Amino acid sequence: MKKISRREFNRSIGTFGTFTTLKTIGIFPSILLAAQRHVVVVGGGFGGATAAKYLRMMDPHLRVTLVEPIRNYFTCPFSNLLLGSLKTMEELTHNYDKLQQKYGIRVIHASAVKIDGASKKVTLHDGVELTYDRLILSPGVDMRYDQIENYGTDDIRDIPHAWKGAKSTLILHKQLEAMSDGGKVIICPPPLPYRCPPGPYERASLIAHYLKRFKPRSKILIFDAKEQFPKQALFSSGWEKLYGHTIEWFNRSAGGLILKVDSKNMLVETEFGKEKGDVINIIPAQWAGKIARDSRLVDKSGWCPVDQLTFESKIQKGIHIIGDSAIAGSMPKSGFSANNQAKITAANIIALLNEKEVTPTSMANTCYSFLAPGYAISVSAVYQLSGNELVSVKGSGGVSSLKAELSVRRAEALYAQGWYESITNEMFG
Amino acid sequence: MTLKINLINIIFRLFLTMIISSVFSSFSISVLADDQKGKLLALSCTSCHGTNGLSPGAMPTLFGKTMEYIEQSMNNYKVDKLSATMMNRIAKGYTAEEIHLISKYFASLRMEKKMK
Repeated sequence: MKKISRREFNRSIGTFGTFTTLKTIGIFPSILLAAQRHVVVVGGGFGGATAAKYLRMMDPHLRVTLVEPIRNYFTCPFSNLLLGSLKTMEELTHNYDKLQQKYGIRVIHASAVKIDGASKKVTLHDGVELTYDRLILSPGVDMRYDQIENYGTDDIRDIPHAWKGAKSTLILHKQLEAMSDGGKVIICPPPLPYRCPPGPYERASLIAHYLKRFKPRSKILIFDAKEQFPKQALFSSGWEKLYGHTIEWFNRSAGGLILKVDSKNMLVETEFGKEKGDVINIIPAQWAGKIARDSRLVDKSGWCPVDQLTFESKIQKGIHIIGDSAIAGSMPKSGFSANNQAKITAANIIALLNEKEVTPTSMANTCYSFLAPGYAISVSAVYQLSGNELVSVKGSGGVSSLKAELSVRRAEALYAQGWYESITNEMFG
Repeated sequence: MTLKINLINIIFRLFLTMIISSVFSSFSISVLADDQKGKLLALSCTSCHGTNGLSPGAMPTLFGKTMEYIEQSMNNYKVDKLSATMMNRIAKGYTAEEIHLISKYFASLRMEKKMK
């Protein structure tokens, strides 16, 4: 790939300088103005960072601004490896330097607080206003604190969700380290839809791996809001092989649904009674990130309805919503999906800005899950529009073979690491 | 009048510079505007195989591979003549024509790089 050299970058700055001169003497031809269209990207995660980079790669004359409050981005994918003491915080943290220096993206570390779709303006927390020609919104998910009795934002210091951000994940990791041998870990996965559907079960696996090494008399109980979970047969058989009876799973009908929480006494309450945990990890139900909800871009479900060809909001024209917060048919809420949607949306936006037609295409998703170091499984699919909805292409995709040999699990673990390096390089490299 | 001509001249030159720079300084994929379909399809591949098919880690690199190699491998994965951990499941999601376009796209990146 060709890098934008400093000379080329300076040359484009020089061009902007000439624009300014032309502007001050009152001449700003529309044809040149058109070459300077501005796309604002709100949210610098798997969707937003990828979108910003590809917009500039596909059209170097586009002005691109990325708004993201966090300077050091901690990835949700692979954070379960940190909980299993197999990765460090540093290995999972990335910054935006290259997006600025190599791709000429203006990165503003601020929170977007308001989007006015009618006047095409984004307001930041410090009052700064950005105007855009097209907006990409990739705000990710927020946790819902209105679904479980007696469980709110105050409780997450004792009962962390560890489902986004470094802070919460570190709390859970410290709690696991502090727990004594023979302790009980309770994990409570949310109802669908939520970010990273197989994630809670990878988490249980890697915590089990940690416990096996350091606290072998301990147990893990999973109280699930669902009746079943992704890659279930693969996880169940892997758990039995690797961890014996360390992990016990209760589905919704078996009393898996958490009704009430008592964080002082570290208790969760289900239909079947109370359970005390030494470490409790509630992964709450989720909805679209705050900025999408505050800007009224969500429907009753709490997620953003979009045209699944262009990812343009069905509620507000000019705003494209990608990643976890978008309703994208059968595509799961994953880093891979967000990355793929980002690249397609970048291409679509460039087509739309140039008054060209949007080309329908297909997208894919692949999710790897670790059950232990050197032992991973996967799920994948290819998606295409059928009518107005993205559905998986018949005959494509599926999960790893249940009968596969250990060498296949080992290869998938290697590729999982390769995937992480590729996708974070797509975002930040 | 002279000022006006000068300005038109400046604008024209600026515009020309921009066109030239868009041809020469832009990322290689913009050159392949005629093959938008293959490019869009290939964007799904890069999430694992790396931007431009250049993998920084354990995933196989697609950049520099010939069209024939990629196309034949994908077609073989599709009908399970070749076996991989992931690609059989992925290849089944694409038609022969789509596989051809994807392969052509990645191979063209190789040609593009060679020319420079």
